[in-house]
Amino acid sequence: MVSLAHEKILENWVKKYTGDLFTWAFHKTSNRQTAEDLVQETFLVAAEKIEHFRNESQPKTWLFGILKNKIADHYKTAVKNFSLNPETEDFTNSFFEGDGHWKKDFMPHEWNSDEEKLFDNNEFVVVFHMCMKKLPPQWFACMTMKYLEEKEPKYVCQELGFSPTNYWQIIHRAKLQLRHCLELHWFYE
Amino acid sequence: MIKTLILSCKKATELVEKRSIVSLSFKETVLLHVHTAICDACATYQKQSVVIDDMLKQSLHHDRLYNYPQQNDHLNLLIDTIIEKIKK
Repeated sequence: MVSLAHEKILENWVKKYTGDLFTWAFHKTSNRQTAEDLVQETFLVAAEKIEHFRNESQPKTWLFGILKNKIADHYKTAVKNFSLNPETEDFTNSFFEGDGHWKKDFMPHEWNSDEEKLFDNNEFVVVFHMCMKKLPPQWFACMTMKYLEEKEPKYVCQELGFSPTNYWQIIHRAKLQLRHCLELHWFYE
Repeated sequence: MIKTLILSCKKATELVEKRSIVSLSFKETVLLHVHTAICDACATYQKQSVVIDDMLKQSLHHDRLYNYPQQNDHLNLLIDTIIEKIKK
């Protein structure tokens, strides 16, 4: 139960810092709904812990600390769910023969298109987004993590508490699926 | 002897992605090099893998440009929701 005085302080913080917290969360997750949820959770944690808040620290710094933990947890959960999923090995194997060579239908060929200009084409952007959305959410999280973090991928792995081996295997699987989807709906259409 | 020098395509493409996260060992670097020299499909995969990386970066950038909620209404709604939850 939050005391009335604390409630007032919290309300003030919500008004003052929600915008900045949301911008940061959005930058880190690239997903509006996720970012909103994370900011909400941040304030709920703040409400629980406000008695321990020391006035000598900045509220903004304190709140960002909570949010950063929330974001890390969000990705940890995504990755954990991923490694528990046995379907992924089968998935990778569906691209290769038993001896590890490409299956005929999945063998990469030249795309014969000016790849640098693809993103100027709105139709392509739509296809690309559709293919991204088809990735299982955990894979999507890993891919997003890899490309949004300015840090070295090695540190991303460390922060998430899993080995680089798992990480690049996830990227490998996600990329196989993504490229297949693009070929199906764009390059070889 | 020859067998130890030859990677499967599955392994080779895994190494392509591994290299973007951690540096490969000397042996892995050589094996990947030998493989892509003789396997067109994996050489193409390697090239296109870089292209997909660029696309992903661009796509995330796009997302931010187009989905970024500039509207104050939206932010105010979020603020109200949070305040309501805290009071519960």
